[in-house]
Amino acid sequence: MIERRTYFSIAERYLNSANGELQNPNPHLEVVAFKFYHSYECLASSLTLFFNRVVPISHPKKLNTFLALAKKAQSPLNIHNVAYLNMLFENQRNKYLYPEVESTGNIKAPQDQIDAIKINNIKTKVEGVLRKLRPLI
Amino acid sequence: MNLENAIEYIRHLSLSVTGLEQYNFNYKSDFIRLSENIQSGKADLITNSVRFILADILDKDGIPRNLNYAGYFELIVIGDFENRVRLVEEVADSLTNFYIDSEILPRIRPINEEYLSANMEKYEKLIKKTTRLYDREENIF
Repeated sequence: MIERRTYFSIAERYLNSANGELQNPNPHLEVVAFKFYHSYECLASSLTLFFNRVVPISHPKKLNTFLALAKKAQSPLNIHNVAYLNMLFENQRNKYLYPEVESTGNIKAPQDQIDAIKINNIKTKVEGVLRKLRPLI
Repeated sequence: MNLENAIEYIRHLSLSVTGLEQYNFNYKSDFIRLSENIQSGKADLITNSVRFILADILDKDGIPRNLNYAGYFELIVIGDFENRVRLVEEVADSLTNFYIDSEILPRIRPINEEYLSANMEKYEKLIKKTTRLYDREENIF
């Protein structure tokens, strides 16, 4: 399998795994959120390779490259959705994994960073990106 | 330091966004436009008690730095937040067009104003590296 399709299949596996977790009566939403994030980042990498660009190592540059390529005429993606998801994941990714120490010293656990409404919003948008990229990749 | 003095000190340490005009900086117009857009959405920010929005985009000498190197910058939101989650989402909303144009990711860092004024020495260096995009009590333009 060529590299961009391998990234795409990783994206599908993580998205399916996230949706599987959501079928549980008490899903671990922060785990689901991280899986959606990883799925999304793999979609970003697959589009980057489609345009014959090198996948950057740093997370912000990976997301910025995705935005730049999503703006191209051949891209089927909604720019506002990509910008929104990039900013959301850049701001939240680590918070789905580690405790957040707020400026006041309060500690916030990963499971307190996300709720069912937000998860559904992320799910809809990431699934939309995957659906639109499938014919291209 | 009391809150009133801290507010004045933040104004003194940070560079008003209009101060970017003096520099040859790629993203000058993007930040000025962002500041204007934040001002026009002021009603939402007041609801959430935002006092300042500062962008950490200067170097230690107070000159705009190369933002392409890291691919992101910190957007420091100072205020008395009762509903922090909603705040972050609303600021993020007004940032979307900025991000689409500039392709530099904003990373939002909320700081409680009471905590900041009581611990100003911890934040001085950081605030010196910022440009002021929003000031609740003073019109920047």
